Amino acid sequence: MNKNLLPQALEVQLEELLNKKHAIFLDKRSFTISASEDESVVTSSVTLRNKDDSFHYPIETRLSYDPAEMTAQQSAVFLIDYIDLYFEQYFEEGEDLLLPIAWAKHNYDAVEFEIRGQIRNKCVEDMADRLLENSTQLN
Amino acid sequence: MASRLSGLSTNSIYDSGLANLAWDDVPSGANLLHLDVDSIVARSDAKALVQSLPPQILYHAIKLKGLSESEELLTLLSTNQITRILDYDSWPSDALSPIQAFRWLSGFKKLGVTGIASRFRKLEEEYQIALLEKFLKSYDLEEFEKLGPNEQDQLIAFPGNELFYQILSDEEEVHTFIKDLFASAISTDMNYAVNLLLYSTYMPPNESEFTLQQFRRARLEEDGFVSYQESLLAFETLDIEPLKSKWSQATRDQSIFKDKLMAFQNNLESMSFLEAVVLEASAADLWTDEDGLRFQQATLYLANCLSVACRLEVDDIQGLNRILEQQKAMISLGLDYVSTGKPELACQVLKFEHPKTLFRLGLSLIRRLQQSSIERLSTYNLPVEQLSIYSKKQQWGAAQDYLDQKLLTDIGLQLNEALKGLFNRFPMRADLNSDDKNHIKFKLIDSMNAYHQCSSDLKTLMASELKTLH
Repeated sequence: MNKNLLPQALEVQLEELLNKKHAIFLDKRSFTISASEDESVVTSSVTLRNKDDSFHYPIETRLSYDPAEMTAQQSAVFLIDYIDLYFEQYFEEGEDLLLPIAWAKHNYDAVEFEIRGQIRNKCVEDMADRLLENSTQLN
Repeated sequence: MASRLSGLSTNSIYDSGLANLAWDDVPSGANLLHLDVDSIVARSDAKALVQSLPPQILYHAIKLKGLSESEELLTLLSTNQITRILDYDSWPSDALSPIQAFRWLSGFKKLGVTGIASRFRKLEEEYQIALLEKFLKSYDLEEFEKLGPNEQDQLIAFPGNELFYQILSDEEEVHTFIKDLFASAISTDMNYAVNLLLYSTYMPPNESEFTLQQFRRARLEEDGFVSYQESLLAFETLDIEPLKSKWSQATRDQSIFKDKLMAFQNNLESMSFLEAVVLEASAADLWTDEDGLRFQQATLYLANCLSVACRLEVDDIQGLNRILEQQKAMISLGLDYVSTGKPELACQVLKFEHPKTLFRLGLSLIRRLQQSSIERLSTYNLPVEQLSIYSKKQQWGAAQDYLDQKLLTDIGLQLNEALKGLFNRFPMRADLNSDDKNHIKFKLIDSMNAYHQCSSDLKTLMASELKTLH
């Protein structure tokens, strides 16, 4: 499995573009990007989150690509391009446009891929996990 | 459709100047004229009233209310208004989208069986054909009989079974609209139905769309959607002094406002100078509904022009809303300056000066501030010549990118952001009172007070951030 599919410079550049393009909507949140490849399946994720992770919205996409048509890197960038369009709509619709929690098929530019996303409060989840962990240790 | 992220550059994102800074976005439709659609359609003279309204205002009203909720209004529109609405809404990325047009035209089903065809045939021939040509193939009886049973099943027969057509699309919306259209055309005028099918099938591909594109461009220019180069002229500075001296000599009657100056000053805390002037002038009957409508039309025309410079799509209503907010701030600044903050004079200015003049006046004041900031930065031996060039050439994307790339390390994040606000296509001031210094928010410069605040913030920031550079 190739965990860092995109060169770091490209990843940073795309993150910067996302942060600048949607600056008006971010409200102290920022985007992070990751992309990986596993046996011809490319996964690209873009996460919108704030500093303490009380807002944590990862959008994950995966695509089984045909090497004759696209390279793995092109596939990863294609998916990120789509996620950017999703966020454009998401912000324009007042952050009401949500994605399925489970993997769901989607089509963009005649390419089929899968997508999922769920807004989480990781800050609270982590606190709950720590609490459970402590209580287990006590028991 | 918007450009792909990977095809964008920081420069191009900064250049539009609308969403690249963090500021409190305006609520959807806040700056658009709100028509009370329900009470308009309920009037006995509804048709005449609707047809006297500008198409773009009707378009915004329908978009805000929702197309399915506005079918009644849709049926009252004139052919010219429908054409203009299709011009605004059915051309994403400057290419005709028949499906989007079908959504509008389907509303005429409300007029009965003949509704769709009777309104469709009034559209320009080029529109009629361009909307259908990609989806239709016609067959005569001889051709039909050569087809296999499966292929025959896909065809729809005209009455008499001599002529058939096939809908070349997988989209249900396309099938529904075209079937409804031909059923409607056949029931009203068979000759028209046959001609529509044959012309749509045999016209050279894309010829109608190409011609239509030229017609559309000409019509959009009438609304202010001028060429890109022309749109940049709206951002040009103007000579401030003649305008200032012209209005400083104007006689003014202060009697109406003199008792209300305190209320006016209070209003300025929660609204822009422009809004406070209009509010007070309306209360004193110095600003009529006609003045309001004329002003609204002129600002909408200006916003359309500015939207070209920002490379906004014609149907981007929230983008237009933001432009209206930003231009309102610059108009307000120009108005405050030329009227020296006096509401009675400001009301006169508003009636006689075009909003574009006041907008350019506001920008001209900002250019002074930009110039003085560049001069001040140069005293710290910072490389600002290029910034000055970008500013003169109105290359705001390049100017902001330059600040990020060349000056950020020397001047620090806060000053850099404050300067990015100042050198934005729509200038804004950084709100330095926020607790979080890493996430700076921006505010509109909509009065002389805000202007002086911006100027003084910049001086203070430069003094504190750059003292080590001397």
